[in-house]
Amino acid sequence: MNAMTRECGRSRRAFLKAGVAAGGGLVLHAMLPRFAYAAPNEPAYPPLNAFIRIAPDGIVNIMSKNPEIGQGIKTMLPMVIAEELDVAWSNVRVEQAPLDPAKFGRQFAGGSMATPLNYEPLRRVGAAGRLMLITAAAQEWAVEPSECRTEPGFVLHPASGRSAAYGTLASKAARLPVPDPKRVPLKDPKDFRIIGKPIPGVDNPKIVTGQKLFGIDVTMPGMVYAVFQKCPVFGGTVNSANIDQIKKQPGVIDAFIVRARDANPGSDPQGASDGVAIVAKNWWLADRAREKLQVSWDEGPFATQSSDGFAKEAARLAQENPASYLRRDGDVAIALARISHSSRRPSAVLQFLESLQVLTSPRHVTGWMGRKTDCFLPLLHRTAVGR
Amino acid sequence: MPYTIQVNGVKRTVDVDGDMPPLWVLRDELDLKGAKFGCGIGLCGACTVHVDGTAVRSCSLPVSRIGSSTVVTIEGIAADPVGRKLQAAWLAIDVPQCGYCQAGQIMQAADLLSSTARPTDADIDSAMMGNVCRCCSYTRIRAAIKKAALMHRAEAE
Repeated sequence: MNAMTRECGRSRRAFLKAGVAAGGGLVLHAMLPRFAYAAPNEPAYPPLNAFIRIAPDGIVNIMSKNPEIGQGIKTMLPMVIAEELDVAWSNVRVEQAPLDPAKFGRQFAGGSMATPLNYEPLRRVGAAGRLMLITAAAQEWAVEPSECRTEPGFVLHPASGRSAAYGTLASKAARLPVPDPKRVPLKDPKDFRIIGKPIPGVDNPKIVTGQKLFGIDVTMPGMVYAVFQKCPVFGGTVNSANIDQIKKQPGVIDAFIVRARDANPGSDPQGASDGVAIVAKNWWLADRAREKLQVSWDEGPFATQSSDGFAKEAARLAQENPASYLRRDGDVAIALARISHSSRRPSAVLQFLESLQVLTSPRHVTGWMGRKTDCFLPLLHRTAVGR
Repeated sequence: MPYTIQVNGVKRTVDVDGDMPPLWVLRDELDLKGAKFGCGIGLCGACTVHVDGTAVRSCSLPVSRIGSSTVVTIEGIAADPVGRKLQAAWLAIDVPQCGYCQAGQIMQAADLLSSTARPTDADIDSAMMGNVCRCCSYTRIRAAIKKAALMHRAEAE
């Protein structure tokens, strides 16, 4: 957990620093590339920025940049953009952004940092979009932008009574220069219509009707399925396996040893693992062939580790002075010595069980191999899994 | 060998090994991805579907055992009045968090409500204990089941 906190702290600094480096545009300069993202089959109207596309009919497509793992972030981050863009939530469609930190800023789940890191930057993303729409309307009406205001989905010019829907302004607005995010006006929080209101999860309708949503639901034309048997010990390697027998199992297309440790030498337990891949025409047949798999493993340097060993080592270390102090209030030894009778001295051994942060969804990835390989997988970080 | 099973009211023929569990027939042969693969050994409930109206773990029986039974999945549960109420209650109470287990939760809850019109907390806990939720959405699941039961009773009266 300490490692994660440090990671997040460093990430936050890096995030802000990157923005300053972008010439005073803060994070947003980096977060507002033009025409940044083109999804397959995307309609041919230009986005206002990496996060916002407004269709001619006023439907607003907002990219949600972080991994959703049940914390609600896929709904929450677009709410912030929609608030400052000033659109009705009912007209918002949320799309999961691909992994591309250069376009979207840091994308990870873990550490409860998404709101502090993104709240103001994404308000400014929305506000910059709103200002571009106002500017587009003002140019069309030959009035000052400062004379215009917005109501959800519309730019208004109160002095003349004119109004224009965002959908009719979006193409023109998308051709305007991106405003300096530091200078875009933000709403007074008392005028919020979306932030602070209970908004149901955007994926709920898909979830309760069983539509495809999760990484494990991805299919590709002609795809085949593989299972990957890793060594039961972190960092172990394969001596040999009964590959020829596995290749003869029903439905099996191929089977082979993966020598990942050659590319990832050393003993990093989180690095790529050696193992045996079994490829079959469906996942169940691949998994059934695995029941016949016999591997001779070299279990490597961690083979002798065990929960008992960890407990003993922890007990030994607890007798030593701490390697470092996270916090020190007073002096425990002196305070304990002041307690006159030893039977009144508090004493306890506190232990945490080793536990994995596992999800119900098994680890999986779908790859589409062309000139480059596109991967579809649930990611918490680049190195871990979520939805 | 070919098996013909009735899924969500439609007869579907698949050419698979008779040992293949319905979960994989549904997901990979029929492209119905609603039932989820969690543990593969009937411990998590994410793969729950109905066979002849009863909630079963679709990962843990062979497709050859389905025979002429009717299979209903989350994709087809809206055809059932109780299932439709559960979906509406799930949306009204904003139950899902990550959502991975929720298809199984709804299918299990539909089985409960088909036999128990006024489930108590104990009824719900007992019926739902085999459906685990990594996000711990249990209190909202319980509230949504009660709401769906209420909606269903109101319609029946």
